[in-house]
Amino acid sequence: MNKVIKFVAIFLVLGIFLVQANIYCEAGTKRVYAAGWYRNNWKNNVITPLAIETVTGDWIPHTEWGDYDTIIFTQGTSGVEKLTAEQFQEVITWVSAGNSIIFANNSQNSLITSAETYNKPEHAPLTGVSYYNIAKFGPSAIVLDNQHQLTNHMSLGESVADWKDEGYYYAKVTTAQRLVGFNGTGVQQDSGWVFANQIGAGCVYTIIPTPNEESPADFLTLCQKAVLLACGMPLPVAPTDISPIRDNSGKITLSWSPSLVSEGGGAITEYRIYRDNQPNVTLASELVATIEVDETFQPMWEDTTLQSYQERGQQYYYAFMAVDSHSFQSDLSATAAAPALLGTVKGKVVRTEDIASGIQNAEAILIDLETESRQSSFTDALGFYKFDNVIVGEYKLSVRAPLYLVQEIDDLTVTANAIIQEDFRLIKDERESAPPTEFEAIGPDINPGIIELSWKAPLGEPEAYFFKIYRTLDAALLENENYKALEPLKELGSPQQPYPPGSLITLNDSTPITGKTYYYLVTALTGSMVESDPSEIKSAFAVPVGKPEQISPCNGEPVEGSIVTFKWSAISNAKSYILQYADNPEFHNAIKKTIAATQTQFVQSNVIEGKWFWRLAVVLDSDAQSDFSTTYFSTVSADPENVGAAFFTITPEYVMDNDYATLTFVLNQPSVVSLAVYDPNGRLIKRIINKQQLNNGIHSRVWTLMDEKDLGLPNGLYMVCLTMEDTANNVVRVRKGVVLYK
Amino acid sequence: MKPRFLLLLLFTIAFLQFADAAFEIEHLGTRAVGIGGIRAIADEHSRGLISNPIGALTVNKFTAGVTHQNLFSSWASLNGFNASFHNKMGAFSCGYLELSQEELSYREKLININYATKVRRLSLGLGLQVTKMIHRYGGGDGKSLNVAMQFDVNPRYKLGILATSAISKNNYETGNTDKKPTVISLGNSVDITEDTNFKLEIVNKTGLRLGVEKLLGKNFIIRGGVNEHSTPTFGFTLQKDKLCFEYSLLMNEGGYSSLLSIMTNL
Repeated sequence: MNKVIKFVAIFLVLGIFLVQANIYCEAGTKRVYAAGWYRNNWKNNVITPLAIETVTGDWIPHTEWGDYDTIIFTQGTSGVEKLTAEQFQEVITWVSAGNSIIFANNSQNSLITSAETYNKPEHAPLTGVSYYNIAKFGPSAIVLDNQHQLTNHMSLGESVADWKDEGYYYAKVTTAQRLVGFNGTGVQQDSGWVFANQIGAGCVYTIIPTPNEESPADFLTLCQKAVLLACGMPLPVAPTDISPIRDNSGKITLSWSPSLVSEGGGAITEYRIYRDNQPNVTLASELVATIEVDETFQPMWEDTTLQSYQERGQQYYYAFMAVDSHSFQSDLSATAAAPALLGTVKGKVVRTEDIASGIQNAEAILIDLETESRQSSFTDALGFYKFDNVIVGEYKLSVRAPLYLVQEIDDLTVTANAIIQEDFRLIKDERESAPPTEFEAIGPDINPGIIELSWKAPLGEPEAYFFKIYRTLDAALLENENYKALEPLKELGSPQQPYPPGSLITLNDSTPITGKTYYYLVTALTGSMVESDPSEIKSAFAVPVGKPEQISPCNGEPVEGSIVTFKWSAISNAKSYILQYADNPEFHNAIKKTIAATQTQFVQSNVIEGKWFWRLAVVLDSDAQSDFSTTYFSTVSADPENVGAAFFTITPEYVMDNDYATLTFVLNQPSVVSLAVYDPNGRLIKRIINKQQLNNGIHSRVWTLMDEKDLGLPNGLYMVCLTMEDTANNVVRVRKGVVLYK
Repeated sequence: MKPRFLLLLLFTIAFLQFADAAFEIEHLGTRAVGIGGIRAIADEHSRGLISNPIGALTVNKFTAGVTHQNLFSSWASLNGFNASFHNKMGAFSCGYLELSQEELSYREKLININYATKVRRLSLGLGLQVTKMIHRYGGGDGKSLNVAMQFDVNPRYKLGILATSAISKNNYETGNTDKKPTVISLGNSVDITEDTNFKLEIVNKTGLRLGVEKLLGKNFIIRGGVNEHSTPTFGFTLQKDKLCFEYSLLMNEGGYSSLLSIMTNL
């Protein structure tokens, strides 16, 4: 007995052992602290869409310029101050350290004069500018390359338009560093072309303040941060104390305290009012008014652009900008809010026969008579309903509960801050409508995947407000009131109005599984939700939707490189195609692509080497979807040289229904080929090709799952070995498994 | 006729009516592979117990071993263990094997129970195997029966017969049942000299296996053979005290397959 115990113990120990072994900111708020650039342009066309965060104002020491992507020097209108010698020395220090910088100006004065002044040999970093002879009254636009050297400039009187034909102005903004400017002298400055900026290291992008049709889209790619340093006149100050007042009609009237004029600054000539329905009003918000400051000016404005009470029911936010006589713009003012006009509707719903108790879960429906939008509120256990934040306006209020007649109030007026109390006493109504008539269910061949349902609303009183459609795959589930245990496929109708008696109702069921026969019936419901007897039971066959036919890559076709182009045949009435591909035949974690019906191919790049499976389905205009096509696979190899040696496949790998397996392989060059099947004991089972000379290309052979003596084989694992020997006697051996599973 | 022999005979006949083997009919042991795949009279121990239950009769009281097989240049592998003991009641053995192939996510597990007895010069063995196949699409299960008889004509000449039959059911939607042909091997073994043993086996009447074993010294046995597909085989056994180390090698166009078994006698 001890031996038996020992035997069992060792057996278990061995068993356990072996088993184990197994930019942007608000442009208007930060703009150039100098004259010269027409800020309207910056605001509307440059800064905002380009998402530049700019910083202006006081001089920032060059030690802090590294915080910005770009340093731009500009200047104001004629007569404003130049850079001081100290400031320019900082520029030199900055550039000497290998940094980029941009000069930008729009007149012949100031900065260029500064450049001229300081373009001297002792200012070594800027000698490039000097050598290009930028002279006073000369060109004011300069181009710096990425070595901070002047590479081009604009002659006096030239415009950007004169440059564009040279090709670099528009097209090469991403390949060269350029700064393009425009001399304002003698041209219309208020529509002028202004400058560019330089973004980070390596690129300068050209900005056109007023982009036109010729402007390439990539102009609108810019830095996230820039600093604009200049000197000039002070900007106007935004108005304060903005006070919106809203009356019960929704009208908004704004008043404000006019802007103060800074010393040296221009007089305020206009106010611009921006509005948004979000608290963050920016220059991108809607400009709703421009108010000129003339003799009749009063700091008050009525927003007449809001017409609908729907708009009046919304909260709005306003911000102001002041513009001075130099066309300088202030920052936006603080935002002021005009509140929405909202009221409350509430009440209690009780039974006529028992007015002391409320009806729970009765539905109160509030319908906006202007927009026809609706909202519902269900009564609580005591029968109370409530609508908060109801926009002022005219409404229809209806209340309904199962087995009770609907009650309505057609003209409910909601006013601002009002609490309207409306109680209801519902009268019991247990009348049942007649069932729907002439019920039909058809699965038309010309509309595969769809079953068309139609019926007529019952005649007489009470009228039908709703219909319930039931669907099953088993007719018995609909018979003898069994359908009452089912969830309806769909419910149609609304409590607002009944279906006209005898009217035709149609419904397309796009959700059946194609290839199956479905049974349907329909019932009618009164406004008090009393369900009628059912209609006749009708059946219809869901005609299968034709599947797309895969064209390429063919099943088993190797793909060279990492780009796979899937192609398939077009299906008429297709709305879209669904392409799935995965690295497993079960399509676990498959990549899904929805492709427009106009396309019958899809290109996927960067496909990882390996075996990929793909299949397709089509979605028709009717939203019916086909089954997925047969799964194809392709072997993707990034190294074409190895495709021939590496591509060898057995279809199917798991033989269940087939009486044969197809062995497919590719030869890159003529080879002597052997192909044989072995069992797990290493024994040869079937020799399919015996040292046969084959040309390069795709070859396939069929194995009938028999051994050499044409005897059947046990289920299990088998190994198929492909041996290829080229003319240089290089032997490549590829092994693939196949599982008989019949 | 002894009662237990009669009982075993009846048991065999009854099982032959329905019993079959699983997915892979033949699982050759290390020694059998080394001598051309001969197993009907290989009377070996180790993994051979799986397919020829008579082998357990050669066991000295109690033997346990492990086996590792490298298939087709590491394309697949097979691991297992077995144990057997022998007393007056006969020889009992059991074993476990697991075949795995990673690319196909394939696993095949086999549990085997054998009984063998010897009455005078006639040995009779019966083996029952249960197999489980697991793979990407599910799997299947199967049973098989091995029936072996061996008659010792004289101490130097033996005749053997081994029949194996299988039935397998996959557990996929179809529920297909697959009966596979019975493999019958007829073999004989003759000791040419005291240290040289020659074996010949006919498989299903058409295949022929040849094998030779030679004892070199007291502890080393070398063997070679040719299987029914004319594939040469090679193997050796090294014995030392209670330990036994066996190795065999088979090479063909599919690659090399090697088997390694380590056993201990207790």
